[in-house]
Amino acid sequence: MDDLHFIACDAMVGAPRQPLTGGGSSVEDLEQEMAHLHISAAIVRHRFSLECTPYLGNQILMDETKNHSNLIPAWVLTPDGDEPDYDIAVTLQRMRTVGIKMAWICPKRHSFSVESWCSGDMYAALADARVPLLLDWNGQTPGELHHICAEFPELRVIILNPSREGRDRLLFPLLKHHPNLYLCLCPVYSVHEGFRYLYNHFGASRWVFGTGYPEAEGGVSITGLLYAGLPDHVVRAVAIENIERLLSEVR
Amino acid sequence: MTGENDLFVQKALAGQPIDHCLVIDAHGHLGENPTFPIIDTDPASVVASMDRIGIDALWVSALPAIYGGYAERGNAIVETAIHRYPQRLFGYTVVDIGYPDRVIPTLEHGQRAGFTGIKIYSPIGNVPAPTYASPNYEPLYNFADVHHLPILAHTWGSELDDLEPWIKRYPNVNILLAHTGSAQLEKYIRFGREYPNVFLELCYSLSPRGFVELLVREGLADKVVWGSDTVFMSATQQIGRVLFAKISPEDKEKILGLNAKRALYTETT
Repeated sequence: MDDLHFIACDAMVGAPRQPLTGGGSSVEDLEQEMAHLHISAAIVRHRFSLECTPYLGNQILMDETKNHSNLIPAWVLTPDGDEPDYDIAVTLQRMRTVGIKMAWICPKRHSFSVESWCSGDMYAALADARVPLLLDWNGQTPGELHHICAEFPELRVIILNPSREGRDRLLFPLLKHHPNLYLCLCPVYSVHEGFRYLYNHFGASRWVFGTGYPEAEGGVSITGLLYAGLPDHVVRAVAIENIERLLSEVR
Repeated sequence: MTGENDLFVQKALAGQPIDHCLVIDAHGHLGENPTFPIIDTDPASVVASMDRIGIDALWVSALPAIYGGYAERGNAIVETAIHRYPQRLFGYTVVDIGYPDRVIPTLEHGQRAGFTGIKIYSPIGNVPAPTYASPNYEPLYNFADVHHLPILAHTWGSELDDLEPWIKRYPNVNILLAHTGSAQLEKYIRFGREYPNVFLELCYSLSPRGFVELLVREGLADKVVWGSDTVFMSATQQIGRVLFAKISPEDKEKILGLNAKRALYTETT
């Protein structure tokens, strides 16, 4: 397939407390890795939001990705929103004002429940704006994920690091029941015949591409997709078109 | 050295098979898995995947042989497969190591059936099994020594201490340490350097970035062999760890096939 490029949906930049053994984790290092892997754009989160304070991490992310048009910043959110208002509606308005089109949460680290009594207002606002929400597969239980998707069917949920357990007895029923559930096919998704099974059973439109940067070798996602035996139009959908469509639909 | 001028990267980015060098997958499985359902366990799907990637040969053991007390039932799955694809699939015999009287008969059956290696598996989860230190392993190593059979050992770091006395005692038995670097990386590196009969097999679902490069920097380019853990994991995906590694094409050729050719005694099989 000529001139195929990719959009990585799961990059994380920012310095950890000690350097990673496998390489760097700065914006510049990410861009070198993107060039190596033919990745034209990346959705980027910031490690500081995960390991230290969420909203200061968003600010650092904006500073570090400024003037890098191939990087698409994603903001971390908490259901109580940012200071000084501590109102998620105000935080989301601020996020949209600066053009952020992707959100993520880390409920365990930031000590909140993903259930709607705690996070429902946040989901409703994201659904209304059609801002996709990145969730790690291990960030909540499959039952909680079911309730989120069922209660907010307009919310686009993208699962990072999805289970690699074959025809997973928890993940696959969720995909069957919830058309608003998407998977980021990243390095940990190492499933024999997995890509073809997903396509054959759920179509081509619900899968986006990820490289697990900076911890994982992103080339495994490329070979996982390109050696899967998928039709070219499906490869392009996963590599780039599905995420472009989701981003274009943000209100 | 890497990138645009690297034929491995070029072919991977084009989705073309790696057909310009020998590619051996030293670690695969067939059959059903106990903890989660494999999507497709048919050897035909495995061989089709090998064709798309450009894998010449795959060494497999049966998942049902590994976990229970019915190794021969699992081995039968592999026996059928290696006879169905004699130029592509090669078998590791698995024994019920908890039952010493079955070890030699099972290995002898494997030998007659054309198996060309032995897979051993340490205790996992909460299912009791003999450790690699068990004397039950003695006839197995003797058999491997006499019949020139390589051994693929499942490892996750901590088992290496129990393996070391066997590695020393049987210098003519090649031992492939599966899942290199999953834990206690320094120990794998030491074993790879210190023991000529030890090879470091790569498959690991986390696919850590820079890991293949690290092993090469440590001087182990001649001791690393590629394996995928298919069908438990995906070969289409694990091959990317080597194809996109920032190492020389010459080292990629070694890791993808030439080292395994040595480790698995393929000149003699």
